[in-house]
Amino acid sequence: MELFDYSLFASAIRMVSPILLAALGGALCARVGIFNVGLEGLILAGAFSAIVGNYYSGSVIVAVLTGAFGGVLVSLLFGLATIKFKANPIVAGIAINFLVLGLTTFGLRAIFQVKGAFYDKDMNGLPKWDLPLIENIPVIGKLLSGHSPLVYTAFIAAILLYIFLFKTVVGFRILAVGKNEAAARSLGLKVTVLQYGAIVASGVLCGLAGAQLSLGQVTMFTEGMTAGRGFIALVAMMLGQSHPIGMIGSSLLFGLMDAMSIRLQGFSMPTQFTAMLPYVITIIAMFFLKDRGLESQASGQQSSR
Amino acid sequence: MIAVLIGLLTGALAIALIGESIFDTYKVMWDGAFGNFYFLTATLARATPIILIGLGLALAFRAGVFNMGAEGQMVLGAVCAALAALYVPGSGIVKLLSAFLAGFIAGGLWSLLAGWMEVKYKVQLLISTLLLNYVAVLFAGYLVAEPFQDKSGSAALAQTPMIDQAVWLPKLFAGMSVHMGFVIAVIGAIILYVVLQFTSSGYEVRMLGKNPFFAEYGGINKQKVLLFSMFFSGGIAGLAGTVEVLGSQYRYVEGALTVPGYAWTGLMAALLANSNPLGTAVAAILLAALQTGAMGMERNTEVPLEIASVIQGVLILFVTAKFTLSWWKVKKKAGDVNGAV
Amino acid sequence: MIQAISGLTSVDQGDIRLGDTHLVGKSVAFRRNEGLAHIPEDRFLWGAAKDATIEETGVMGYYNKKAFNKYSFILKNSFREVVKGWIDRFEIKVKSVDDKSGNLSGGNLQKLIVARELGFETNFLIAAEPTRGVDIGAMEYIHEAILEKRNRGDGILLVSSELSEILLLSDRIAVMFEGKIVDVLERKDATEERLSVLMAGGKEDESSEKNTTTA
Repeated sequence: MELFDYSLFASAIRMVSPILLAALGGALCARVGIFNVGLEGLILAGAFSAIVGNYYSGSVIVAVLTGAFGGVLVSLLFGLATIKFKANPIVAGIAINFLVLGLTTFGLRAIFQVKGAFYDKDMNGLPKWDLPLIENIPVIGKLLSGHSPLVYTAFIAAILLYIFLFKTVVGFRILAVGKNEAAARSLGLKVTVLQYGAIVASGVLCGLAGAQLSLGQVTMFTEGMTAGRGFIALVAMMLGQSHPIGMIGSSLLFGLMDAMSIRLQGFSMPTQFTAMLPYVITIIAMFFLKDRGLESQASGQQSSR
Repeated sequence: MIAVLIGLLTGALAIALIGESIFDTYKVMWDGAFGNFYFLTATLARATPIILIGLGLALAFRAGVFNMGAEGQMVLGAVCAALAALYVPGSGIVKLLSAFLAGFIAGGLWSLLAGWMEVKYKVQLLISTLLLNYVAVLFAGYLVAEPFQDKSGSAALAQTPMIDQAVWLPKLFAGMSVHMGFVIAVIGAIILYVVLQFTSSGYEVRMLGKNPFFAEYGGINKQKVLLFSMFFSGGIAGLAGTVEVLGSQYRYVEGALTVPGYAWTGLMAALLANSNPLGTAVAAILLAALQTGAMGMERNTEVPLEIASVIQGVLILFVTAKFTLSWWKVKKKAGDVNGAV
Repeated sequence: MIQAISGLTSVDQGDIRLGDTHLVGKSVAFRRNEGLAHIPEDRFLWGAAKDATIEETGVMGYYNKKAFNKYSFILKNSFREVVKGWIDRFEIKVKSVDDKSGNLSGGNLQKLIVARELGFETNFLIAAEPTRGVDIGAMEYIHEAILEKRNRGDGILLVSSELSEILLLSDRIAVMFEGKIVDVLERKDATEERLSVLMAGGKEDESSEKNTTTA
């Protein structure tokens, strides 16, 4: 088996999508000044809700919507705590992660009466779309075609977010809030509305990410199936500097590393080192990208020391 | 305290949803945590690493630094302690001491690395510590998968060989799981409290945390204090891993420290107690009780143990929200928004 | 400039000396040890920690001194007496020494800071806008304390934009305009009018601050 072949890249792209979606959500929050550590919980909520939706409706479309909705519900909780009650977003995010982990496992038991994982062979997962023209292009065709709709959504969302943030008025307002909340407020910008909006949007995006997880490849829900992807999305967000296009790159990097590490097992090179690589790269990148990151306002309370 | 009530109420709601009796279930949980001596000691044993991590984090938070790397520091401490215990020549005592030393220094240095990056290169601690966690855990995983793997058994497990019995931390009571590490943790809490409250170094740490400008103005060397705080914070986290290895597992097992979520629970303990060392120890024991109790619940009822996570999550959420709710009220009265929380 | 002298900012060019000791490039701690005390302009930002108790805000700078420190343990009881002395002497209104510093009124906090900085009995004191936002009663205490220190032969750098305060306290006045010292006057030669003109640069522009130094 070769190291680099088409199926490697194809699976990389597939594995990237939940991370990219979540990272986009996280970036939106970061841009508005809130460091959303709860991505992990949001994705998991989405994954679970999607399966529940699928089970009860039998329709994949409803399932995806339920997934997004699940994300929104949890994100509202996060928003309330952080904005209304001014809780520390990092603590709140971690709390949400624990909460969702417990709730979904609990829900697994309560609703489906199973432990560990829920799988129903009658449930349909996300279809694979074969893009008519593209699939015939020699090399790229195999890469780009045949993915679930959510995968494509991820990349489109990134481009849309880029346009939104940097080319629209509302987008600029969000950026302004993130750079200096007090100043934005004094200018009359509806800071709270924007912040809630960003959080809810991240709920949607992470919900979709979760839906991709539980419906995309194999249709099932496993306890804690996010397996740290929410945190990886956070890292992808940081590496991509909360910039949509940058995050496409960083997410791809992670996806590639992920796919490669499975492949490398066949080469008896320690998988841990490839798994480490994205993190190391991010740390190194941080040396060069110090203050251009938006983390400065939200999470950098300590940095000024 | 209201937060605790709300947490328990939420749990009650969830239990009712499943259809179990709320009262019975909670009783089982209580039994699971404190019911008999065996369970009580199990709770304390579980609390041991949580207390230590909580202490390390409490120190960091007091200094005003968000050290999110406790998990990585703990794991590195554990691995190095195990390796020291296995390969350092000498008598049992020598091995024991070097294991402790190795564990503390490993965690401390890893934490110091992040601190140094912040001081010298302004790389944000919050992020660097989070990232270094992954690197540390993966690296430790590598160490036990390849070079230092226990090849004695038939299965190839990701763990080190068992350490010599002479190096084991004694159990406090025969047949019970709680060990000397617990005593160390409690002593550590007391020492940390005393140091923070009564010594000049403790004063410097606290002032740095309360107002770094004031600290600098008064002549405190911010960088030095920050680096020291990071080092000790990481070192204590490393100790958490060390005592687990020396007292509980007797080897380093991949995942043994991360799966139970000791680091995040320790974080919660520190937050619940507002970084007061003594309070952190108490909070840690309570959270451990929550978890062992939940395990008891799982054994005896249909309620899954994750209910502990649910309660924990709700608890923390309400604690941070409440803390700031009272801040908010005071601020509204004063009408003065001078300085941030 | 104050930040440069007290050590909070570093200096590219020039020299700062206290007596015979060079201060450039040295830490804040070093300068304080050599005999520099500092009443900061922004009392809540630099001069205190809002969440710290009054005792804790007061002990800054003292906690390492032999009189209050044994084997690196701070001797709280001994120090409390000192703080209580300050409270009496300056009539600082506090509920208790364990109350949070942020609960003090501006004037009372300033009195605490003045008491603390004076208590070091240094050769040199920087007093930056010491009575800004402070009530009349407190102002009098602070002025009295500054003059007392001057009478003991210590040097004081008073930075103020209050002409009446400057004329009341100073022996020598340096006027700054746009970051440079434009003139140094003896007290007897200074009038409000003259100072105002110098402050304005002798032209029609805005001025920065005026300085006074006492010998």
